Amino acid sequence: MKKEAFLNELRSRLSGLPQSDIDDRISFYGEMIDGRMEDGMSEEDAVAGMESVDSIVSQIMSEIPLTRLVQTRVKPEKGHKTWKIVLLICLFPIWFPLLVAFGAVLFSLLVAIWSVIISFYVVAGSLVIAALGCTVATGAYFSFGMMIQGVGGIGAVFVCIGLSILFFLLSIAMSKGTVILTWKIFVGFKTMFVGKEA
Amino acid sequence: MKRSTSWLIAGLVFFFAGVIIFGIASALMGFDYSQMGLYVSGGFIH
Repeated sequence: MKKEAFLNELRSRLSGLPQSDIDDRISFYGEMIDGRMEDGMSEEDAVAGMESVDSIVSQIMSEIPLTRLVQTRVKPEKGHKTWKIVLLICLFPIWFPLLVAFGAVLFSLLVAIWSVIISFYVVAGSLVIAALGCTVATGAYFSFGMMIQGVGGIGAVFVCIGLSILFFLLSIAMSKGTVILTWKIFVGFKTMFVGKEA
Repeated sequence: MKRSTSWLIAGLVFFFAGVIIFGIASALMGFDYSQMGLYVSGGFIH
């Protein structure tokens, strides 16, 4: 792929962004390709060595604040039709509850997912407490000369420690996964604002 | 080896070691594993 084709594709994918941002990014990636070509690479190789357009777009989306994107997209146009405004007001009883319901569903989903994760952390914590309790009980068994019960207590302590480690690992993995998923949804939502005008 | 992998192995080792130790101790205490079904059903009946 040639430099111009690469930059044109990138420009079309970023078409919903503020013009100054698009120009900055295009010149940045253009200079990057030029730098590679000055180092002796061919134009095709320099472009092939770049990140994919998808990955660049998703990186840019994560850097630009949502408010700025919305401001760019909903900037009042001079040719705003009167019928559009009338339609928007007349359909308010339909689209507004739908919007609220959509937001509520998203929010409740997030709360439900985090509740499960928090409950896993609580289980892991309670297993640590159980391990401490079993340690005390084991000490008591040994001090009363109940050796076999004491050995059983040691087994219970080990089981509790092992399960608590596993539950903590699971909880951490779930938290990370949920944060990444939430971030991807957020970036995907932002991406909806760009690239439609091409 | 990644730190999380080490923790995973430690967790599994602790868990299975605990199960084995607890199993041996309960067998020494006279817990008859062949009667496990009876213990469980007895627990439900009571």
